[in-house]
Formats: sequence, C-alpha cells, structure tokens
Amino acid sequence: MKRRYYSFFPQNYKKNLAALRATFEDSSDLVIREFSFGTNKDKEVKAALIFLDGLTNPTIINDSIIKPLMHDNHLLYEEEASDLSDLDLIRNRLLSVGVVKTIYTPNEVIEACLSGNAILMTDGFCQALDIGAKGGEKRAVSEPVSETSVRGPREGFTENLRTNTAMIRRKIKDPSLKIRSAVIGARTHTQVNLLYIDGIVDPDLVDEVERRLKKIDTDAILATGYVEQYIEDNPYTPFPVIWCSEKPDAVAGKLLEGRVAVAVDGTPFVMTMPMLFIENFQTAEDYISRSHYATSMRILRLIAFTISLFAPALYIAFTTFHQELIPTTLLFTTAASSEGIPFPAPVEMGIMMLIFEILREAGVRMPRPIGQTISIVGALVMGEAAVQAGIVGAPVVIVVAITAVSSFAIPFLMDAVSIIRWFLLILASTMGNLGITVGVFILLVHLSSLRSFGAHYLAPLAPFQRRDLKDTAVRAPLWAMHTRPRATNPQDLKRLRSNPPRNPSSSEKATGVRNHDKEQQYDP
Amino acid sequence: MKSTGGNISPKDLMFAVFCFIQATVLRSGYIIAVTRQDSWAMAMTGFLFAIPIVAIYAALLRKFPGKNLIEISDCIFGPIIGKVVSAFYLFFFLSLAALNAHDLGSFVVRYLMPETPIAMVLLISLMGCAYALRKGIENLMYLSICLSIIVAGAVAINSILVLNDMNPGFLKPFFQMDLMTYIQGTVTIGAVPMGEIIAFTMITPMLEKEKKVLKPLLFGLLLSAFSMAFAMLRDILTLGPLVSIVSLPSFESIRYVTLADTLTRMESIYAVVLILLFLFKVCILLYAFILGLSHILGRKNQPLPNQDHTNPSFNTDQPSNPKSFPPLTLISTALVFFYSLIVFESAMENIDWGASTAPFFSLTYELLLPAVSLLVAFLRKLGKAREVRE
Amino acid sequence: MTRNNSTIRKGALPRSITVFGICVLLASFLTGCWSQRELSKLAIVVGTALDIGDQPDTLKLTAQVVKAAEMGASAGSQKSSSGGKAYVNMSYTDRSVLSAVRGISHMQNRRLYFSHNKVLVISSELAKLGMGKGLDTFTRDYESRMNIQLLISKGKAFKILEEDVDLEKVPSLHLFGMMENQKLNSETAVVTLRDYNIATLSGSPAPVVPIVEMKKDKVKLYGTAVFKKGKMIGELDKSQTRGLLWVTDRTRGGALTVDTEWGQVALEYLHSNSSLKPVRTKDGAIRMELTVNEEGAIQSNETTEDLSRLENVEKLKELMKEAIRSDIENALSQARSLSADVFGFGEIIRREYPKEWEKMKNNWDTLFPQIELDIRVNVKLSSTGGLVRPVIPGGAQ
Repeated sequence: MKRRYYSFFPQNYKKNLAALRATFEDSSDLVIREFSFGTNKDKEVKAALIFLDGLTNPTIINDSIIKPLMHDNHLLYEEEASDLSDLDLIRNRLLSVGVVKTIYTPNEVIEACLSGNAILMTDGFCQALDIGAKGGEKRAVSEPVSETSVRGPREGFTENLRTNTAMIRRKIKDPSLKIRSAVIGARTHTQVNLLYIDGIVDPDLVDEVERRLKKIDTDAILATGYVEQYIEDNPYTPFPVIWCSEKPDAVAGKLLEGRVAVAVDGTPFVMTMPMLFIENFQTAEDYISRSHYATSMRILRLIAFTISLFAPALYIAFTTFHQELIPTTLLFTTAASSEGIPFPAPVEMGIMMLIFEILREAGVRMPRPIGQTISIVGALVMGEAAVQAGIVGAPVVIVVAITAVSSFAIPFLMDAVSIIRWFLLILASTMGNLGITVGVFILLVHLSSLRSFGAHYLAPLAPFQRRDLKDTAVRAPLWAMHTRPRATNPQDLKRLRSNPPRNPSSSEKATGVRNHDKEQQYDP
Repeated sequence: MKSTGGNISPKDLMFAVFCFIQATVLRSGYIIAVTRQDSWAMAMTGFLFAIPIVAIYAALLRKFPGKNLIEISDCIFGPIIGKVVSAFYLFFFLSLAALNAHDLGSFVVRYLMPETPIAMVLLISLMGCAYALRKGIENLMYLSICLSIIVAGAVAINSILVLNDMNPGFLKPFFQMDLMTYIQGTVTIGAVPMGEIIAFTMITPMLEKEKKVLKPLLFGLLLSAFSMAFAMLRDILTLGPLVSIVSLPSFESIRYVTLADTLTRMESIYAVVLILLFLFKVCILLYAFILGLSHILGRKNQPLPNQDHTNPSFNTDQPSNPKSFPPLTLISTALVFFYSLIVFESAMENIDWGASTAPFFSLTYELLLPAVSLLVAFLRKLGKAREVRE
Repeated sequence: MTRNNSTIRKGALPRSITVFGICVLLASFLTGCWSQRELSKLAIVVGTALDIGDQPDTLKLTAQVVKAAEMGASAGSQKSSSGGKAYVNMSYTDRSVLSAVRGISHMQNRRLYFSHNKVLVISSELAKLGMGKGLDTFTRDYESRMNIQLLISKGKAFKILEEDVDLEKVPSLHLFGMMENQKLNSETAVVTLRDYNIATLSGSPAPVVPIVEMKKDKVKLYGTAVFKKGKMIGELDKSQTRGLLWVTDRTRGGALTVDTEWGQVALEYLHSNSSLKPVRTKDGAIRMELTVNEEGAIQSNETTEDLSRLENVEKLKELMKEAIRSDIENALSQARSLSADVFGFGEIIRREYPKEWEKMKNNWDTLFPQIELDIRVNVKLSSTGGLVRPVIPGGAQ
C-alpha cells in the first residue's frame, strides 16, 4: 500500500473524507461519525469525527467530544454561540478533553488516527483537531512474571507506554526526569520513549542513544528486543549488553545511577543502558534487603555463574585428562560409575546437556501444567532410567543437574552461559585444563573488549576502579554507596549530600540517607 | 606516526608488569639451581640490578614522549641505521615471545598432558593470544589488575596450604657461596625476567599520562621482586635440597598440599593461573613484535587499537574495534609458533641455555642497545626540542 | 565512515583466514585427543611393591590395582558387589621399574595409572642391594607423587600387599592410613618419598625408612631401616626409633609406660618438641646439644598410690626423663655403631657452621661417631587426666 501524502488540506471537506476513506479502504474499524452542530440553524456546522474503533475510549468520544458539541452549546456566550465555525473556539471553549492539538495535513490525521486519537474535521477549514482519546483494552498493572520480589514493590510494567513512563515518573518526582519521544518503524509507528535524569546522566550518552534510535531503519518494532538489536554495540557477543527489566523500581534505580532508559510501546520491558557485566548479578531486591544478605546472595550468584559455566567442562577435563587431580576416594566412585558406560565421557556429557536444553525449552514454551509434566518425565524418568540402564553414569547426571540449577540462579546470563558452556566443553574434551584455561582467557579478553554505549562492560574490574567495587560482589550498605558508578560517567557523582558518608548510628545527628533533607533545614 | 593517546592508567601498567614477570616465576628453576637456598635474595638484588635498566628506558621515553622504542630508535639513528636497530629489537621480541610460548608448551606437555604434541598446545595457546591481540592490547591491560588479584589469591592459598610442610632450617646457611655465584644470580634474575619489560616500551605511548613511565614500571618490578622472593622462599622452605634438582620448583612445592584428603593436588589451580599469566605475557611480547614489524614495514597509517577515551566515544557503525593489524597479527603469530617449535630440541637444552647464555643474550638487547641509543641521543642532542614542542 | 569501510575491506581477507584457521583447529580437535584417557580404560594403582627378581639383576614389580566397581559398590550406584576382592595384584619381572610396568601393560587391557599410588613397599633384600633404581623412577615420573609412603618389608614385599584387611577394602589404602595414623603414636618414623629424597640430598645422607613385616596375614610395624649410600645397612628397633624421633623433633604424641615402685603407670605425651643445636667448644670441636621439652599427663594408673601428690609427680617426671633419655642414647649408640648419621647432625652443622663443615664433610664417616650429644630433657606433668585418685576399693573415703 502506498500512502498518499498531501501537504495541505484541500478546502473541500467531502474530498477530504473521501481521501481518508480511500486510505483506510478495507479497514472496518474506521469510524467516521458525521454530524452537525450549532445553535444557529443557518450556520449549522458540518463536522466529522474520525477514529479507529477499539483504539479510542468511547466515554471520551461520547461525553467529552460529541456531547459538548451537540448539546452544551448553550453554555457558550451568546455572541460566540451564534457562530461555531471557528475551530479555535471549539477547542478552547467546548472540548472537555486534556490533549487537543491543531493539525494541518492529512498525513497527520492518519498518524493521529492510527495512534488512537480522534480527529475532528469541520467543513470549510484547512485544519483539523487531533483530540487525545486514547483508550481501548489494555492489561492492568500486575505483578511481573519474570522478576518477583519479596520485599520490593510488586507492580510491573504493562504493554502501554504511557502507563510505564507514568510508573517511573511516580518513582522519581523530579522535573529533571526527562522523557524524549520518538517514533520508529515505517509501518508499526512504534512510540519509543527515552528517559533520563538531567543533571545526572552524561549528555553525550543521551545524544548517542538518541542518535542510534534515529538511525534505526526498519518497518517494524514490536518489542524492546527489536530496538535492542538495532542499537547494541556488539552484535556478535553472546552476552547481553543492554539491560532490561519489568520492574519500575529497578529501572528508576538505573536512571538514578546515570543511565538512560528506553521504553518501547507494546512491551512490558524497559531497557537501560549502558549495561555492565556486574548488572547481570544485581537485582532490585538487593538494594531492599540488608546488605549482608544481599552480599551473600551476590556471591552465591557469582558461584552459580561459575558452576553453570564450568562444571561440565571441568568434569570432562578431570575425568578424561587429569585423573590425578581427583581425590582418591572420589576417583574410585567416579570410576565405578563409569564402568560399563558405552560412551566416552564427553559424548555422555554432551548427550545429557542436550537433553537438558531440550527439556528446558520444552518446559518454557509449553503451557504450565504440561511444562511440569515434562520436567517430571525428564528429570525423574529419563535421568533415573538412563543411569539404571547404564547408558550414562550417575556423576554426569549430577553434574548436568547442578549446572542446570545454577544457571537458573542467574536468569540474565542463562542464554549466554548455555552457549559458552558448549564452547568450553569442546575445548575441555580436546585439551583438558589447558583448553579450559585458554577458553577462560578468551572469555576474559572478550568481556574486557565489550563496550556498552562507551562504558567498559567489565567496568569496575577492568579497567579496575576500586571505589566502584562497593556494588559488585559486595553490596555495601546504602549509606556507604555514596557515589554513582563511574562507568556511566555521571555528571553528578555524589548521591548523598552529606560528605563524607556516615554510618547512621555513628553520630547523634544521624545523618543517614533518609533524613538529610531535614538536617539541611536545620542547618543554617 | 601519531600514536593516539591511550588511556591505560599507570596502575594498569604497574600490574601488567607484575603479571608479566610473575609468569616467569616458573623459570626460577634456572636460578635456584645456581644460588640454591639464597635464591630468594637474588630476587631483590636482581631488582636493584634492573633499576638502571628501567631508568634508561624511562629516560628514552621521556626524551621522545608519545613514541615507542622502535620509533625512538628511528629518530635517534635515522631511517637506515634505525631500521637495523629496530630489526634487532624485533628479533629480540620475537625470540622472547617464542621462548615464552615454548616454556608454556613444555610446561603443559610435561605436567598436564604428556602425550599431546607440543605443537597442538602451542597452536591453541597462540590462537588465544591472537584473539586477544585482535581485540586490542588495551583490553588486556585493563585485565591486569584483576589477573594480579587472582594470582595473589592463588599464591596465597597455595602457600598457606603448604605451610605444614615448611621447614625453616632449609634456608640455612645464609650466603656462604662465592661472590661470583651471587653476581651470576643477580644478573640472571635482572636480565631474564626483569629486563624483559623492555616490551612495555612499545605500549607506554598508550598511557594516560605518557610521561609517568618510570614509576609504574619500577613499582611493578618491585612488586614482582617481592612476590618472586616470596615464591622462592616458599619453594626452598618446602622442598629443601630437592629444590635444586627438580625442574619446576614452584610447581613441585605445591604438589605436596594435602589437607583433610580433599584439598589435595592444588597444583591444578596454580597451573591454570600460570597458563593465564603465560598467555598474558606472550600477548604483550607478540604485540611488541607486531607493532614494531608494522612500523618497519611502513604500515604507518594503521591506528593503534584503542579507540575509547575517558568520556565514552561511541561507534555503532562497526561491530567491534578496528582490528589492529589484521594480516600481521596472524603472520606474526604463525612465526612465533614455528619459531617456538624449533627453538629447543629438548628441555635439557632449554635449561642449559637459560642458565648460561640467556642473560648475555638478553642483556645485549635490554641494556646495551638502549644505553647506546640514549648515548647517541645525548650526543646528537635529540629529543629535547621535541619535548618543548609537546 | 569511508575510512571504516576501507578497514573492513582490508580485514576481509584475514577474517576468512581466521575462519579457516578455526576450522582447521576444530578438525584437529576432532582427530586428536592425545592425552585423553577414559576412566574406564585406566587401572588405578594404589600400591606398589618391589622385590628382587628370580633372574640376576632383575626386579619384580607388583602393582596393586583397584577394581573400581567393587570399591564403588558401597555407594549403591551400581550393581551390588560380587563379594570378591576389591583389588588385583599384578606382577612382572624385568630389568627396570619402567620395563616391568610396560610388561604388566602388555598383559592387560588397561593402562597402569600411578597418580594415585599411595605406598611403595621395598623388600629388605632389594634395599640392601640398593634403592636408587626404583626411587629415581618414582621421583622423576610426572605421574607419581612424592608424598607416597615408603616402607621396607622384612620378607617379600609383594606379600605385604596381600594383607588380609578388615576395615578397608584394599591393603595399600590400609597401609597408607596406618602410616598416617602412626604420626600420632611417635613409635615409627613415617617417611614419604619426599622425606627420603630430602634426606638423601642433604649434607650427611643417612635416610631412614620404616620396616613392616607380615604376621599371620596382618602387617605389623617392626622398626626402622637405616640407609647409607642408597643401601640398607642396618635397623633401629622400637626404642631406638623413639629416640630417633625425639632427636629429629618428630614426636607428636604417644604413650609411655613406666615401672614405678608401686607398679605400672602409663603416661601420655601431650605436647613435645625438641631442638638440636651444634655448639662449638673452646678447642674448636663441635658438640651437639639436644633439648627435649615434653608435656605429659597420666593416662592410667594401675597402682593404688595417689599420684596427685607432688612428690609422686616428681618421681614420675624423673622416670619419664629417664625413659626418654635412654631411648635417645640407645638410638645414638646404634647410629654410632652403624656410623650412619640418622639424626642429620651433619646437615645441621652445615647450616650453622658451613666453614667447619667443609673441613669435616670428607671424613664425616669417621667423625660422626665421635660427635658428642648433650641431652637435656625438660618434663612437665600437667594433669592427672580425668581422675585425681585411682579407682580402688574404698578409695573415696
């Protein structure tokens, strides 16, 4: 379909409507409500309200647009009421709707229609009114599925962009929270919003994100993932370099660290960037729970990452290359269980890992009740039966199980890890420990070479930044995290106003984070 | 050639030096065979011996800021003799890279995978190095602090676990050998692991503050001297007289670890760390060689593979960094591969070379050539004017 | 942009080379797994015995290989145990250790794997001829470790590995555990291959190795073998071994039964340490000074005497001192008669007086028996154990 573009409205109202009908040919959801209004019978104004059914809110259309125009004319001053042909008058005096815009081209009419607004066209004007009447069915704010929280807020983003930005705005009540807007996708016309906090964020970063967003040349953006793939720095890396979350509080936290958020209409996920490797191990819950617990959870996640990455490779390296490294008693048990197994260990491990990946995929895509059945069949029946039948050894099943469970502890990296695991497995089964070590070296260099919007991906570790380590494996108490991470190059480094940070209990003044405002009032 | 001002911090450089030299702790076998129970002291005297060498490098780099060793010798000796001198340096870098690759290979083959041909080990290791070089040397340098922490952790864990088997008596008697033995030990340590930091003169133009070279180099050396002395002390204390007959004392000493019958065989940790360090070292040497080679071959327009600055610079256009010297990287890696295959026929030859010829071979390039360069620069009054202009 | 494009074009060729290289590498991965050995293809050796072979100039190597399936049976993962032995002993006679190992491999479908070797038993006949042959292989070979326990057997060494074991499943593991346990008894010199090597390499080499013997299918510790120049030249009995341990500061704990005027009292060593120092006398000769500090407790009292009384404690202490001193003197006289510096006097002199040692080392064999040893024993009896007075009829009154 080739859309016709007009630079200006032709004066002829009928023609305009005809042109619109032609554009929306075969679109049964287009509603053109023609009506006339006015107090003076001679000067009755012919008008048309154009909207797409389902995208608009019927209440607004009925009560705030049509009703005032047709019935509430008497509320106008006499002199005005006599001549209602002035669009500005209608806009200023009659329409009880928040967002009204005057538009001039048919092109704008089409766009406004498609984005769910109602258009009021009146006979004899080369203008139209774009009336914000967005509505239609949308999902209510609900608890996010992918990230649950125990003590944190329970709300999650929805598919509606405005709801999402509002949720963030509700967290950060500061006029310096800026929301820039862009429309991407030649056909989808997806609204994309760019959020940042002026004064914290690096302006270059905002410009860069905007530049990359503008450069996207595609006809369809259906979800955040589409945008992500168009703007990320390293398309060939298995690691995620753009962070995304379903939770407004998490995104607000990232914004306050000097990051930029990108919200895309139609997805309950908001991306933030730049992303650091360590963010894979952070959750919003970390900042809510006490720092000791959060720290131990972080360390646990790091261990889980290591296990899920290396366990199969190390098992292969140890059992087929470096048997001397296994404690003697353990060696006997392992050897005993590998007696009579028909396959070499790497093949055995490969089979089990493959089965695990299939099970996982099947479990994720299946409806929930069936998913559970699959996991029971997979885990119990297949694992147990395979060991009983002597096709795979029990240790291999154990290792694969540990690997699987560990990878669930780091949901962000699960995809990356499940790919790299195979790479390491191949290296380990050909070159043993040397292979693994070279693999680790390559992995380290790769991670160190990654950039996310100019930030070093491995940031507080390489390049090493001692003062930023307080939010890595260790999650320092909030009052001690007085600076934002330097990797995002924030304009305003300090989070606290008191300087240096103090332990809330250390002095009687108790200059903690929460009451620094109060203190400021008392201090002359 | 304008080397773009890089952003490697002095701290990164310092720890890179540490990692670089730490890789050679394994080779302490050469020196322990000579000075036996006093070897730990050689690490310190070796450091003292290395100070003037480093000072010469620093003086050269200060005279010609923003230039690497090869460019400096071009400036000093003019285009023709300069090329010859550069060729000498290049040969040295190549030899060092090959020797270290060979050390890595023979270590792996001897202790981890005896039936594997060394060529295979070298191939996979050098592939790793080539990958790292193509990703850009600065990324490797950023990793140096992390790597140092890992190394320190591994050494500390191993040393604590081996504490039970130590016997302080093994250190005695103190300093009872000929003076010549100690001089030999000092020179060997000063030249073979420590002097090798000449390779860093190829990287220093990428420093944040180009002129602050001496301090990180010296502190890096000092740190390595301490850790080297520490490692040697541990080896001597655990192995006693055995230390001078085993081929890899650091490795042997850790093989004794037994703790509650589960924490045995800790040498695997050490082996992993050691391989990492060796890869790091070979990378740096290889980079020095490749940079020099590209300079000699006149590929001057190639930018250094650093493109990020303190404020984020963004390039979305290309998925990854411009590859530093794509064809050269592979060719040089292949060169190192073949060279390291043929460099020694046997481990015996290697040990003999390390104990007798290596110091003199190294000192020629590490001390003699730079010293002569500095002298010529003084005589021709080069460099000063440049400094003013900078 | 344009420049970037040009670099890309330049990079196009090498990228294909890289891809090619990776393909080659992967292909070579598939073909060559040189050092790879499947667990099920290994014969895990846990103990080794060396004997004199039946032909002249040969030795007989016995390797104790664990049957993993039997070992793991208790773990319940596999089929139930067939009730057979969990180990197999394989022997082969050849000219050297390595050729014997190869000989065994020729007869088996699995490769002998020595990394988990725990004990090395050498028959005393072979030890008397010289140990060098076997030990160098075990030290040099990358597979075996130097923390294996070294033992000398009084009879045939391979018999030791056929011991009838009760608590363990494999004799070698039992032997290894037994030796580890002996460290606490201070009755036996526990020697690993590493200790033996260090002693051999030291200034005055006279390493010692414990001796075991078979009695009614059970292994018993017997004493200590003394080596010189790689050959076994004599033995120390139990008391002499204790003395040796006192001098070399290897006493950890243990028990001592003394005969008092009232009857037998068992004393326990709690903490003990000793220090051996060379002292130069005025005339230039070197004497050795040994200080033994010992702290003990009463372990059992089979008499009716109240040992918590201080004068009785003093008596006990004297007896303890006497016992320790006599052990040491016993060991010293035996060492002197063998002219073997089992205590490492020479090494200590070398460390403290290197110049003097240079003069002494050439005729150390004759000098050693003349070295004087001053023994000082300090004994503390710190507690009487759980009881203050012995359990005797009416003792509480």
